[in-house]
Amino acid sequence: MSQRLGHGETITIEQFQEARASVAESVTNVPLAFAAAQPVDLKDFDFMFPKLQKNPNNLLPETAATPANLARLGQTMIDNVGNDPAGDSDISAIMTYFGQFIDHDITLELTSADLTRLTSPSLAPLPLAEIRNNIRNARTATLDLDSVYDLPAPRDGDKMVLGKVSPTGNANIPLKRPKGKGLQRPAAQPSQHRPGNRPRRQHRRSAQRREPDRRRKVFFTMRLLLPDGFKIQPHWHPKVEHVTVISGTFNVGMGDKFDQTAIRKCLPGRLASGRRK
Amino acid sequence: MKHFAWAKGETVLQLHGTGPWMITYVNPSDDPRKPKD
Repeated sequence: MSQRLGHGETITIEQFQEARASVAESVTNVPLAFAAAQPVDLKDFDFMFPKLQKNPNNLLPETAATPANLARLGQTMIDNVGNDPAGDSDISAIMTYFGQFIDHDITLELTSADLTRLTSPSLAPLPLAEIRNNIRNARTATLDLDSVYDLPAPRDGDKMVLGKVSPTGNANIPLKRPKGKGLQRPAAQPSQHRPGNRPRRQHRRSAQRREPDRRRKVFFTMRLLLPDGFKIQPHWHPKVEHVTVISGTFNVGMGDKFDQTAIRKCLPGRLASGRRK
Repeated sequence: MKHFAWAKGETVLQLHGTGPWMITYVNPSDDPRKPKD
């Protein structure tokens, strides 16, 4: 996902899913047996006080006057004291920036890109069912840092990875990525692990090349995105792993030879545990 | 315990456990981490 979303800009859910799929495709090259990526997992926004919505008397009247009145309400919030610092808030600016950073990491609403603009004269309230069913959150309530790195963000065990910033001694602001750093785009090559033997994209991000936490003696959780027909040849693990099927169908067989007739079908919700060798 | 698997339809799995998580293929040539000739 190489594009940056400007402040206030909106994207559609299709664009977001395409970007997420692109990231998932790129992490198939992580040196593991299969891809590790988080699917787009949409959550409800819903209402803080859902019971209030059931009574129409609690709602704003659906008339042309309501948007105008809301605009008037907004006007009352405009600071009219000019540049007089006496009217400035005592709250540190970092509260605003950091608060909004957190906001962007836990909420991303993708539906409004296709809705009527708030300033449009034809603006009308959305039906409750549409709000509940269609207005979805593409982020999670946890601070995943996916607004910065997309998923999976680099972690150090249960914590976020902390880096250090050191001065470069260069007074010129770098406007380009240093040569050999960051995105690597070697030529695409065919892979036998993708359906149709299509070439897979080879670009990786530095965060994704980081040594995975799952190689350390710590609790780990990861998600794997397997394309249709993806085969995992006979193997074993040195330690117990627990597998939950989130979506799709995962067919598992026991033995040291791949045998498509000796399977156990695992559907979403199924938890399987693999014993040690 | 040696095992194998395949996905029908695009499939998302969640794995959890205590690391180090490693995978060893019965046939080393099946290991997709190794470059193919």
